[in-house]
Amino acid sequence: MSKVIAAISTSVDGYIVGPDDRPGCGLGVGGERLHYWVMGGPWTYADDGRDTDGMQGADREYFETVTQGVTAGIVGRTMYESSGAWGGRNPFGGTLIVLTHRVEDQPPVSSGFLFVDGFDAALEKARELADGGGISLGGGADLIRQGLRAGVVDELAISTAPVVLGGGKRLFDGFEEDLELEVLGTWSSQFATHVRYAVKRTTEAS
Amino acid sequence: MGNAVLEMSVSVDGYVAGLDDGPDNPGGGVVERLHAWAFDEDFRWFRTEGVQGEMMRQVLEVGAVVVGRRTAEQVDHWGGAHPGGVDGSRRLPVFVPSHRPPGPTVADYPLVTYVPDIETAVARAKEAAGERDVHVIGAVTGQTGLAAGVIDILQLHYVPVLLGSGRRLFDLLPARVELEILRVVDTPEVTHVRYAVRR
Repeated sequence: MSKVIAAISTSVDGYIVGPDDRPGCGLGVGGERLHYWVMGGPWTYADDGRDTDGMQGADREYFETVTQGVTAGIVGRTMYESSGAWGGRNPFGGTLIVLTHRVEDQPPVSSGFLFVDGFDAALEKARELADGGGISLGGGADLIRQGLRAGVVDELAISTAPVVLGGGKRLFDGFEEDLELEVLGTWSSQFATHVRYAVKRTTEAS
Repeated sequence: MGNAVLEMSVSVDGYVAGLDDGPDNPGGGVVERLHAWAFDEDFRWFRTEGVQGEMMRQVLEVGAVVVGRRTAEQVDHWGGAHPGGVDGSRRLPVFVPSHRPPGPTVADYPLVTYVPDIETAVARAKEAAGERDVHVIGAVTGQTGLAAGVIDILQLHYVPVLLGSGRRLFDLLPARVELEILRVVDTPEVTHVRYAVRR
């Protein structure tokens, strides 16, 4: 059975994007700070390229451990849109499933994106594509909350950037489940504190 | 002069207390889940040994506290002074920012001082604390202090639990605050992250 990992970056006040996220401003106004750890230092939306070559030290160690063995991924439509569809091609290799109610404008197979309607259907497709490897829930917040509510998330990995954003979209807005976690590992750099948590299963979980 | 430290145990989903937090139910039913790391086994006193003990000693060795009126009144100002020192025997001065005059018991508490705003509270507490730090207590007071730019250190203790409801540490702070990670202490029970507030 594939392991499901929800991994995301947040601010100290719990926002996964700052205010007004949109194409060209994917992490919201001032939200670049959330991904300094990804880029290996300060960057802005105006910079060219969005690769992870600059990632270093503990940030890279964390990234490698959390992505190791992951062979399929799901993202929400809003994240897909606000990233500008990563320039029209899935940068993560393989097929990236995009969870959306609007599947009519399905992108070509060569883009590496596959639109799927409904969380359960998306997860089923991901399990098929993963072929026993791990499945990442890359965000946004709503996708991760759906996964946690459905009781299918094995691991929650949170990278907390040292900033209070003061607004945006909260990871746990409207999330009302009470769940015990277990710390699996911690990595820290000047740009973020990364903690991997196992989500403990309760007996009444579906 | 010492630092003004806002110190909080917080769940991974950002809560510092339960929703029904009140005088009859301090902490709102989640005290044990959020604060177990800080106490000895029977919750009589704080741990003062080991990694968690080192964290608690930083809190116990402060020179004064700033606390919101709500919390202060819930515990009747700790009977006139906040317990400090490793064994709780030091009596620490307490500063409460509030626009309204204090309640009747405060007249008997020479170490408890009501001041009009958070800036004054932190400034007076730092004077009283000398070289020691000032412990800022309470989510609302802490956020007000961060917005006013008078908090120097944010010490968070991230507890591995999702509570699903409660009072958030950051609920009313609309301001952007840049932080710097000073120290991360990783334990199975809790992840301690110490941030400096950048000016």
